[in-house]
Amino acid sequence: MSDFVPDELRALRAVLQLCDPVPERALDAACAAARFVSSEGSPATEVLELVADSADTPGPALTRGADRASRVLTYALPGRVLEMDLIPTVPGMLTARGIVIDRAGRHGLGGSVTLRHPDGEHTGVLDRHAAFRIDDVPAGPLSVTLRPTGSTPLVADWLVC
Amino acid sequence: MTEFGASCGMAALLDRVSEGDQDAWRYLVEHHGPMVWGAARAYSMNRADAEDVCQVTWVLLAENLHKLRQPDALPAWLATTARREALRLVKARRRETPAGLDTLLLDVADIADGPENRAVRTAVLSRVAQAFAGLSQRCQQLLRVVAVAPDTSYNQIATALGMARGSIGPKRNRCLTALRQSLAATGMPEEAAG
Repeated sequence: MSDFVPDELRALRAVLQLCDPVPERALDAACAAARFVSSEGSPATEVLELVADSADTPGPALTRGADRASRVLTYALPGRVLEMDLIPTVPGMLTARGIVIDRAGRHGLGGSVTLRHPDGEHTGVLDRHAAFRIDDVPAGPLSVTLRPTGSTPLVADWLVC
Repeated sequence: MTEFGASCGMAALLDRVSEGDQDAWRYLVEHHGPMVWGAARAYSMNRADAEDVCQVTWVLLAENLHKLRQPDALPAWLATTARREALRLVKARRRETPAGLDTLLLDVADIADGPENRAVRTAVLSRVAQAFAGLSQRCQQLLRVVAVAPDTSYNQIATALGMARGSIGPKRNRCLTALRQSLAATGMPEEAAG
């Protein structure tokens, strides 16, 4: 790119630096992300693939029995899907409710689901219907980990919720 | 910061990062952070969402570092990831317009230093901000990245914004011309804008 910087661009840069600078908090969070670095990747895990996101469909998604818009994420794992509703509770907080079922709609999987966020994680145990509920999840970057009993954990990529 | 930039190629830098070198990671953040912020902010409705997009971009890099086959492609990877996550979040928020600066104008008076300069400076910056807010969405996105990350190459900008590489220069010039004309229409002399 040319070294010449037009006056308008310099003025705009000044405006953005004054009114909308790169937040120190964002840089601090980026530096803190170093703790997730792994040279070999997560050991002994498989991929939990996001296959559907209600954000991709038009119109607000309303969860069952709720009057506020929720977001529904569907993940695929071999032979099964994990469907999860993220329901806003108070500002900045979510409740996650979900279920793990096979292609025929049957449950029967034991284990747990963990929601990781940059400052920690919350875990819910699958009940006898392979359903789970996790309260007080902070909105923001999240990653889902499914730990089936006796099987390799499955980890999804991060996304902002 | 210059230690890595002067003596270390991207592949060696990423090797150091993967070995847990905190200084190498910090260099990556300092060197590419403005570009990631620019790409995130260009598509996010507000600063809070852009901060989340930046954070998730860096966490994704940390966890997928071992999958990066071409170290020199890192800037493009960061830009693409930030844009993808920002767009995904915009969809989730059901919002369709990019961030404008008009809602930030009230902050200018609080930030400007020196009482004697405050009124003039605020007026100048407000006009620039208003002129910027009046540009097309695409021009705002392009000029924002160019302004906040001046070292970003046209290739990286093209990747960050999903534009053809060859179109960046001409579009940049057209957008700057539109900004200049808008400023002129408000009666601001060119030297004041600089």
